Amino acid sequence: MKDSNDEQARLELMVGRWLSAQPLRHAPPSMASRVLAQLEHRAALPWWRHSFLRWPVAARIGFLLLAIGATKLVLVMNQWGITRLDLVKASAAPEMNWLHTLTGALSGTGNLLMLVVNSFSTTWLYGAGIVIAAMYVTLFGLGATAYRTLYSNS
Amino acid sequence: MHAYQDMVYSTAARLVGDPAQAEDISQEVFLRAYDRFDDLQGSATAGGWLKTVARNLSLNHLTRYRKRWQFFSDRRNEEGEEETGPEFAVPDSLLDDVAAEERHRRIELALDQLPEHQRVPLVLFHFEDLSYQDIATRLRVSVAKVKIDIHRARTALTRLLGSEDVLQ
Repeated sequence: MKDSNDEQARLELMVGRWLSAQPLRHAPPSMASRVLAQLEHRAALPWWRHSFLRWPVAARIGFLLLAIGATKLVLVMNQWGITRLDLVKASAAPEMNWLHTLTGALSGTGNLLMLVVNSFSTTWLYGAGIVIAAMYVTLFGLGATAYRTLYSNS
Repeated sequence: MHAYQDMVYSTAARLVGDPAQAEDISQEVFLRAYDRFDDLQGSATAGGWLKTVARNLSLNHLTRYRKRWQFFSDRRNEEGEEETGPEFAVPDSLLDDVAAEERHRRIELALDQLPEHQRVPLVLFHFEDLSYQDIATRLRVSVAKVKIDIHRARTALTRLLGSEDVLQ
């Protein structure tokens, strides 16, 4: 045990000595020009393409006021819509016959599907669920194995 | 920027182990520094700030990457099933007879060949001067795992350095 600790301490000392003596790696010569190009690109963008915190103060205040106004408008419209919905429905009823037909057809299709699903026994439904889950797990496992075998070890 | 670019790039390159990604990270560090130019200009702590941001961005980059691919590749290593290989008796004289420049080159090559879960804690310990506890907190692993990974990294590093074929 003591030998093992001594060996670890010797290894730590040796590696520490090597690494502390390592000079810095040289950055690629292109890095400064890349950064400057990116800064120029950013500077060329119009103000509204920058992050919100970098917008002009007036624009930020205007945007906030606009957002508050829009929220208020939505709330008012919502309230108006609820109170007027029945009136609109009643007045538009003759022109909206096609909509009633469409909703009726959709509702009928939904009812038919529910009837078909309910006609299966619970055992069959659970069985189908288990088969789908098993297929999913199998495919996921195959994908992981293929990745480890073909890609990760390459 | 010229005064710090090697330091920032070294921090990123040693942590992520990939020159292209390190360059992207370094670029992001300097763009952030530009946004805080007024604070950093002439500040004595500018170097420390740049190094910290480089380290954090590198670790964030690794975390994102690890989360994406952990299930497929790193899980085995995270669980501690490690390929330590036979015990390697490290001679005290290892690298003593190698010229300094060549020694530096070999060490950087060997570092790049370490697996991420060994290289990152080793770099944080020896280059970034973080404690075991700080490393464990930053990597969200136990202190015991950090110690084991660093020890294995040192062993693997010396094994690589002792095997010249690997570093040619």
